[in-house]
Amino acid sequence: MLVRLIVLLCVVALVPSPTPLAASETPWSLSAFLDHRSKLGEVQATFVQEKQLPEVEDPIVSTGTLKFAPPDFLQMSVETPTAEIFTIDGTRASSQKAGSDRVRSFPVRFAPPLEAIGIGLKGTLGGNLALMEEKFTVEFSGEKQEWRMLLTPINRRMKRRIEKIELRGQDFTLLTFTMNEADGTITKMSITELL
Amino acid sequence: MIKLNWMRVFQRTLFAVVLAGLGGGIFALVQNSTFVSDLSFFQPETSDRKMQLAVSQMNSGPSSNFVFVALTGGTPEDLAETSALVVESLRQSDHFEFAINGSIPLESDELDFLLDRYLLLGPDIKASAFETKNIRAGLENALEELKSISDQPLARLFFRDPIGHIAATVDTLLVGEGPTTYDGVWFSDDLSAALLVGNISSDAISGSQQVAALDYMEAEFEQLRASDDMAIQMSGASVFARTASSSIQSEAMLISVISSLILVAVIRLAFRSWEVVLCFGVPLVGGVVAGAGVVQWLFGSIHGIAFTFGATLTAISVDYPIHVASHLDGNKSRWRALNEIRSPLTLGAASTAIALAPMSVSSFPGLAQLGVFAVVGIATAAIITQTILPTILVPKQSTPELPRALGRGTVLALPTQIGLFALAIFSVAYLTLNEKSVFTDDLSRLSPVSPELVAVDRRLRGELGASDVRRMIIVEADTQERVLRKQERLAPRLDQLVKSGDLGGFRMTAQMLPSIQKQRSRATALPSPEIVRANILAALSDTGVRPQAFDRFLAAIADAKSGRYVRVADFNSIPILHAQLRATLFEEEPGSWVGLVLLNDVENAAAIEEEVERIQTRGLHYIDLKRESENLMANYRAESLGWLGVGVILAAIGIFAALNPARAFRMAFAITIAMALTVSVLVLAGELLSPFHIISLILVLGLSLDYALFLSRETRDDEGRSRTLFAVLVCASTSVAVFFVMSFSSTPVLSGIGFTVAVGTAISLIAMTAFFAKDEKDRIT
Repeated sequence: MLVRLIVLLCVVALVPSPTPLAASETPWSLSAFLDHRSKLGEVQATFVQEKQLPEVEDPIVSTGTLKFAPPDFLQMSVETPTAEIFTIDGTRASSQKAGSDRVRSFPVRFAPPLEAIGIGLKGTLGGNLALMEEKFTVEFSGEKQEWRMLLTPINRRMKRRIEKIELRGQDFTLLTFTMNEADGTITKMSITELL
Repeated sequence: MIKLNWMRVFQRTLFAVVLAGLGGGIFALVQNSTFVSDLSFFQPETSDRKMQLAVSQMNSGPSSNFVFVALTGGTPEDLAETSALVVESLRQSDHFEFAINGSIPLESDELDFLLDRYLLLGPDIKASAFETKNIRAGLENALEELKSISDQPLARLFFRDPIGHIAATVDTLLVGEGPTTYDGVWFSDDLSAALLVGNISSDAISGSQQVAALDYMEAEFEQLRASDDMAIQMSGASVFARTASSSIQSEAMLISVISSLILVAVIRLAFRSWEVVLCFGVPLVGGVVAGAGVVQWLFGSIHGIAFTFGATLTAISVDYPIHVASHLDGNKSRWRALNEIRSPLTLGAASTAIALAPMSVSSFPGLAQLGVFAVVGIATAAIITQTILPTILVPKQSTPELPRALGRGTVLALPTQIGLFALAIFSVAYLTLNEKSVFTDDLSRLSPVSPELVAVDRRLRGELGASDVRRMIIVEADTQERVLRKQERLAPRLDQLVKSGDLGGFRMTAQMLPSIQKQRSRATALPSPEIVRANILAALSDTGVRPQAFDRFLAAIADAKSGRYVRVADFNSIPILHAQLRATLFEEEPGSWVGLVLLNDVENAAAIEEEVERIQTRGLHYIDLKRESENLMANYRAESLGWLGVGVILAAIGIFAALNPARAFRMAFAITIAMALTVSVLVLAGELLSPFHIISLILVLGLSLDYALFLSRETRDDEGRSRTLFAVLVCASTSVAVFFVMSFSSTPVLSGIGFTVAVGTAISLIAMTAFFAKDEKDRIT
């Protein structure tokens, strides 16, 4: 009997306790979301990117893993179609193809689409509103189960190249990143954050 | 009861009126004068076209407004970042027409203009570029690039330009291979310095506006640099000018303060009165104001060099009041004192003015200005000395003591005369036998720019692949189209020289913007859009690329064949390219277009010159700016010496007419000895005579003539002679002291003038004293 009681207690202990009472929970908002994200630290994820160029029938699909380390480091390790490591660290970007010693390094502002991807992902995953608001207006809508964040460029240079960025997610997790460029290119990225 | 001294009141009032008049004259001069400070001082009015073009290039050539910049002292990444920020800031400023650091920052609409019209621009297009197999190869390459997750703008450009012509067109904007790039920014080969070029706005004509642009660049750099360790180095004509003018200005200020103090101290010591010091300034200032005013009235502007040297030559007139004051004493009326020296004073001023007068009709406007300035200035000073000065000057009571002691020193006059003569013969013989060069026409010897700055300039130009600004080919025609056609005929010849290694590379407008004639033939040669579409469709099979992706390329072909050709004016919408085109192709005056062919890495200048001459087309000139500037200087020197020769002969005739021949001959002899000795000392001391030295020698000539005239004049007694000797001694002391101070200047022009006049005056004093101080036999007739 005692043994059964102990086992029962253990089982109870192992079962995750329900979330705190609704009354003490912070209401769902952009600041609540970003505040939570800013405390998470490093993030690992897998991604599938589909880039639809207006000139080409089929989208170019890339897959790989993604790593974000606060405050300013983002690395995408592409596995297919061509192995490549692409990094944005602060204001600099670099890319290195597999099997090549050559690292192409350049200021990320030279490539507005890459800068926009960097700002969108780093700003969301790291909960950094200031970073996003430097070059975009940020609109946040939806419910906790299905939220949407819309970034619209305000910076002149950025505006000429990028129409908008839309990020969607559930709870505190980012699920998709979609970027529409002025020339009709659409980049859609599905993200699966790893625990 | 106060007893009024009416004479004194009148004197003071007149003095105040004179000072007010001079003040008004200076104010009017400053208000109404236009000062010019380019090389036009040395530019003859009528000369061959080549020299005129050379001079206009020296004054406002394609690189005269360029500032070459190196940013150093940081990581390449930081340097590139700062370079980008600085260039961005310069582009937005009104101080700069354009700024480039490697990336050509075209806005998308500017790029669209280029991409729509580029088939008519740039180098020739090979027909094979449009073939299916070549388009297919390029496409496969582009698609592979597009697989990369990082941005590939060049790969995307393929759809607008599948024949790869846009890159070749942009390359024509650079001379040679261009510098190393890192992060899309120009760098030195060792990546220790980020390089950029700013072009100061053409509206910035004056030196101060150029200085403002340079200051702006420095301030922006200070603010934008990534770390405090980073430094900026600038070079180019405007930077040289700023360094020169600031070093000349600060030093000239110091020198004028010291010289003025010495001048005032010597006069105060000699005449023991501050009022006298003030009075002495009146003839000089009056002369300078009159000289400058007449030049402004006759020529419409005053060249800075003419003003400086005109004032220097007019400074000879400081001696006139010294002579008058030295001969005043309480016992005789001031007019009587003046009458005693009127003859030598008038003769001295007149002969100096006569010697300088022929210069006024020189074909060099600068030289003519100098002649007019000096003649008017000296004449005015002499007139003021003889009319106004005696009225305002306070008589001196005592006889000077100093010259009596000195007078005894001249007992050895004869041995000194023989010694000076022997020395003159010996030194001239030495110079002649050793074939010492006496003259220089190399302006760079006179440049106040430090060798370090010149080295920085050379290094920056080398690394930027900037053209050799010393040599260029100038193409002239009545229309823009004809200039471009001539350049197109010239290009294959220059290509040959590049192949043979005589020339590293060249840049001409026609490489970027072909003549309409050439555009027309190119348009005709382009395959039709239908043929190209068919080739593209064949190249696209199994690639998944939409045929519509090439619609704008096909539209560009149709546009090129529509008969709408590209002209310079079409580039108005792209300021950065327009500014670059305008720098090398411009309308000098209505109906006269000039195109510059910039050369770099010139290995064999003679071969290039020969080739240009062989073409025998009118309006094609090979120009070596250094050689032309030396020719200009040589012509200038020859003409100034020629006019001076005429002037000296005229003055000599005047003196021979005024004096008895024996005395006149003796004076000429003494002055010749003094001048020969002066030139010898200068050459032996390592000074080569530039045009500026020659002007200084004219001043020395005038001074020795004055000394000779005064020392040899008739005097009634010892006191008279003593006063004359005193006056000459004060005159010479002031000249030697003032110009000796100037000889310490670090600016070669100033130190050259200072040394020449100080040495010349000292030698003249010794020679004239030796020949005339004890002389009582000769009389002015």
